[in-house]
Amino acid sequence: MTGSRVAFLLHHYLEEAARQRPDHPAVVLGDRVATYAELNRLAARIAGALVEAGVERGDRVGVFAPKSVATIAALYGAMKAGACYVPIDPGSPAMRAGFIARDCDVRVLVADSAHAASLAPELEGADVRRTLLTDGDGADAIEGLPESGASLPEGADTDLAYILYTSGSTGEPKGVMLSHRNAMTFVEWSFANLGLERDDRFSSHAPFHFDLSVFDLYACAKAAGTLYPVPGDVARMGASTAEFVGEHAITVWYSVPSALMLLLTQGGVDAARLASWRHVVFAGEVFPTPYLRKLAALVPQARLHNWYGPTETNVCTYHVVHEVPASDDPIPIGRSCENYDCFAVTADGREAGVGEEGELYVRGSGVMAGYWGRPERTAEALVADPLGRHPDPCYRTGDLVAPDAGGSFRFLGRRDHQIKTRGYRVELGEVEAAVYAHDAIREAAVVAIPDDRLGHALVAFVVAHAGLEVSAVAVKKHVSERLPRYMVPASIEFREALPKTSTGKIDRQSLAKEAGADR
Amino acid sequence: MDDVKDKIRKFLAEEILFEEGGKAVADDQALVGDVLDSLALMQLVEYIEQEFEIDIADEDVTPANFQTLNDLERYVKAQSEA
Repeated sequence: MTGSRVAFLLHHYLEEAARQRPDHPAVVLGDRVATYAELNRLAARIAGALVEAGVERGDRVGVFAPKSVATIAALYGAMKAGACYVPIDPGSPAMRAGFIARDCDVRVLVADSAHAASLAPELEGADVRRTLLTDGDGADAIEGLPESGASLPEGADTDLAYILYTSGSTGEPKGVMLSHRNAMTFVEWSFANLGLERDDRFSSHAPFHFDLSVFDLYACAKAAGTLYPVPGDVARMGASTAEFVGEHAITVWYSVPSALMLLLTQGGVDAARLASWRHVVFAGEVFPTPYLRKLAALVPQARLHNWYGPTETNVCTYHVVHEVPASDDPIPIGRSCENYDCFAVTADGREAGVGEEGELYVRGSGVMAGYWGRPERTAEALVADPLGRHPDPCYRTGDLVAPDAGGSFRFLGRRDHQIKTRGYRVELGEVEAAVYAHDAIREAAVVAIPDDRLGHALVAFVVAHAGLEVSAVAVKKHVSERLPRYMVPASIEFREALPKTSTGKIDRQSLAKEAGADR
Repeated sequence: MDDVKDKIRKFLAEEILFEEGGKAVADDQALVGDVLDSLALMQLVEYIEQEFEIDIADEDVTPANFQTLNDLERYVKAQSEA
């Protein structure tokens, strides 16, 4: 094909960048620099190997490995092969990773040796045809794959591009299905909204199983800019993160607020290191205003953006911080992105007026295709327009908001037991189910205590079976074998019995009050 | 103050690695990245402040002070004497 063409599927961004700018660095990770031509070649090799292994259009390819050039090539390779990728948290315990791989019937697994070995016992009986190993940066292994003569399928924009698993209230994670069209609605919006340029240098802070990564990967590829994955040990300390930004002259940063707060509070941050920032975007949780004020003062040259949206819709509202408010009230989540229709509906079914509380609904081409293998959950989440205006389904967020006179929304809270901790969404029911799974535990309730830096901290109240003894450390260990680290309760409180409401339910409100008072 | 390292080691084992009575962390093992994520690092800072009754300035949370148990011991002792 000659000349440029309009990207129609997500991986076309890479193919187009490789045509236009083959020798430009696509990914820089430590000493490793991969150009667009190389990244596209690696992705094509992987796609060929996937097709050879029997992957067909619509199949799932699991990716269970740390960030590397090879991992990024694998995401593109899966899509080139007509499949969708399923990124699994490389910090996730094998039990949960295994559940995800079996739940969506992963056909090929891309992993490094260590992750592949830990997952193997969980995949017995599963129809995984092949494991592609990506040790180190994996490029040698991929280049060594035989050149495949197999032709790649032509996909459609309604095909799934990826499935992202989020916490599920019933104790099992659920897979959010996003199509190429869904993803590109967001990518195209973000590209235009920020005015991204080909010389932009993007951080990649969020892990690939977190939807913030969709911006990093594909907005960068659309701009034909350069992506700089933030190494784990760098991301964990504020001083190291600032050094990283300075060393690579990052221009576009996107992360959860807690990552920015680390940078503001640890290591005596040096504003000179952050002078390259053009855009600083945060999403995933509320950015406490006092810290935001500190950030704005530190990097006056950068434009600050508060983006909002659940995984099911990706970003659907945005707010540009022109001025940090004088009060410490949280800033708004903002107004609908182009191509989205966000509206709040009151408890009695009307559209919420100015200042009135309502649940946020989202309609538009970014809204997910549904939950993998869970038609009932999909039907609960994707509903008919409650205001009866449009025929296509609306996503019911569960978030309570209030609109202001300018059409901008303020976030008020949740209508259920879902909370955020460090930007991750956690269903307290999933944590409770993991605690309950311990043999010695008779009763358990997990509550979330608001915390300035984390969003929420988790506290588990448990009652042990008579005659059985169990330590707090043992309970935490048990949970950590089932759930990612951010879902492990910070403290375990033992009780003789849990308080009950008049209807006989566990009185979570009084437990939350009790836990909050202890802090 | 000879037990600075052992106290922190026990804290890391029980509160971060969830290993009972474990001696999981060696004196010269890299903590940041290997043992500590950012949340655990905050927990560790709070623990040290309480246990050893010192104030840790934000500027002091650096790889030089927090990289290994040996580094932490040196830092805690210096702060206690200050």
